[in-house]
Amino acid sequence: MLRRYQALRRLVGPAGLRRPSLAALSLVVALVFVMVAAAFVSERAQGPRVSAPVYPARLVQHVETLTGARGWKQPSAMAVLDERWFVLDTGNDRILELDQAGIVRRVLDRQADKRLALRGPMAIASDDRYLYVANSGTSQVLVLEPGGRVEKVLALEKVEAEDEAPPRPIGLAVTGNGELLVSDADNQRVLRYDGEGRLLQVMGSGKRDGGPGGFNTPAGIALDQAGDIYVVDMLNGRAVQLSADGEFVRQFGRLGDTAGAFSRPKDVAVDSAGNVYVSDGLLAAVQVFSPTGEYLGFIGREDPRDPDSAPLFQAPAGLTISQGRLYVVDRFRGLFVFQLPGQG
Amino acid sequence: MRLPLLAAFLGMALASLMTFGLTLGEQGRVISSEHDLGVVAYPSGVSACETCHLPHDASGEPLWAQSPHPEGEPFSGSEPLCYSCHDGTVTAGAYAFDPAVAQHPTTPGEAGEHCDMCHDPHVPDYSNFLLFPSGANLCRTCHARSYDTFHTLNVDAIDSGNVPQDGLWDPNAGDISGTRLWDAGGSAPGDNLKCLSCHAAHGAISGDALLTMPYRDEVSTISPLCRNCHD
Repeated sequence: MLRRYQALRRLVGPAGLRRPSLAALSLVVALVFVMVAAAFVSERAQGPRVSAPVYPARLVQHVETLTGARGWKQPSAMAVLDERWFVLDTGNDRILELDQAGIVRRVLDRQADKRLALRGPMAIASDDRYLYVANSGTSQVLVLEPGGRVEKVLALEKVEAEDEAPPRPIGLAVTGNGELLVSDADNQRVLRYDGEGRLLQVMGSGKRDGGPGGFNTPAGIALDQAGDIYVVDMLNGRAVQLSADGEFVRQFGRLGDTAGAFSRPKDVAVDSAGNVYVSDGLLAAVQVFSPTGEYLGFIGREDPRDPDSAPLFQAPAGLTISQGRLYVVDRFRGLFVFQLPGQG
Repeated sequence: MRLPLLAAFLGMALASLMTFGLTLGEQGRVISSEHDLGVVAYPSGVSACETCHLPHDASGEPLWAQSPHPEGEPFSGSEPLCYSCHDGTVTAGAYAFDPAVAQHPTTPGEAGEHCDMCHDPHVPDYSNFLLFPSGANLCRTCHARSYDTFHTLNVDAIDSGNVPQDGLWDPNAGDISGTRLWDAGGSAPGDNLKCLSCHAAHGAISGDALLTMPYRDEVSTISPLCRNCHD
């Protein structure tokens, strides 16, 4: 006992720590051990991992994925028309019309109209009269009446170039004067067509491009009330705002997996105040920005006040805003409806 | 610094550099492969890696766009990352994630038991970024039963017109109405059918055996799977 005490005294010394380096090293090693252990023991965070503000959108309805004849399979988008919800049932190559209680009322497929031959359609939009469907597998946009009758089948005119694939439309928006804005995922461009499918404008260089005015797999498109165009630039990890004429204005977000960054953005929507919403398939969240690009928070937790609560989404994709409500189509978990703050 | 210490330090530094792959290593084979989706082409930049790895603004390791779901949950591990492009956006078609048809089981909760069981996005050697040429070699890495008795292909019968109507199954179209008689390499009379002639890793109809066509028919006594060739 005395020997141990003496050994200890020798270590510490009469004037205090005689071997400061050894003691300090032990302290550092202990600290490192504690930090590493804490990193393993603490729960792996899900989604944006910093203590990001949670955007106060309130979940008001969740239409779950059903199996069977009236169920959808990997739906990618939806549109609202005449107070009915039209869910693009991508995996089944059809459209389901739901009422506001989330009940399927009608199935729109080739039985409704022989020309409604969809192949992996990835986007749907509406104006006050028609539905517009990006028929991604056939390089077409279909214009439908809500009852299912096909009004027009627009074969998208190709941008003249050798060896170029025809446009593969995966994003779609309709402007106030009936023009169609289409994201071409195979040629890294956003194309503007008139109501007959004639090419009016080409935006993007035609190859993967990270600069202003360029795209790397453009996806969802939305318009704000001034007619400005918002395009999700998927593999550049950003959403790009263009003027109504197609000139680059600003970029939202950057590639990353922290708050305000995008990992795999899919679709974009703009509310009546000009706030920009972007869904992210890898962060499993919808992130919100002010009209000037300031990060406002994310949506996607069960408890809208707790960023660590359970995630709502599995693979959020299509976004639609209508009358103060945000509709999020999750490829596996179905349709989520949120009431947006301060709007209706 | 003393010489042995300096030598030790330099040795460790060199070992770390090699470990962390400042040489491109095999991951560099992504460049110019189908997974090279970067904006800036090598050698001016290595943005081929940025599509999946995040050198900036990454919140954790290993520096790749992380799964938002912890291990053990469905759709965890590499699946969300693969699906984030193979969902109809960057590529057309998402049949490999179709929950309505049978898929080769992966095991959420175990590392390396997701899509990366059979696929490696860094290895462009074989079709579909598989780790082996598609076919028996791939299946046999796990399914090691004896395959001495194969079903032999009688190509003469096929030449005489006895070809199944829906002869070839195209996984990219998600069309599972037929069986694939042989691998793309072609077959000669006397060759054996391949695993993929009757089974499919993605998009199979029958759950347990991952068959592309039903084996039993409740109404007739004829197996639809057999009848697809022996018509």
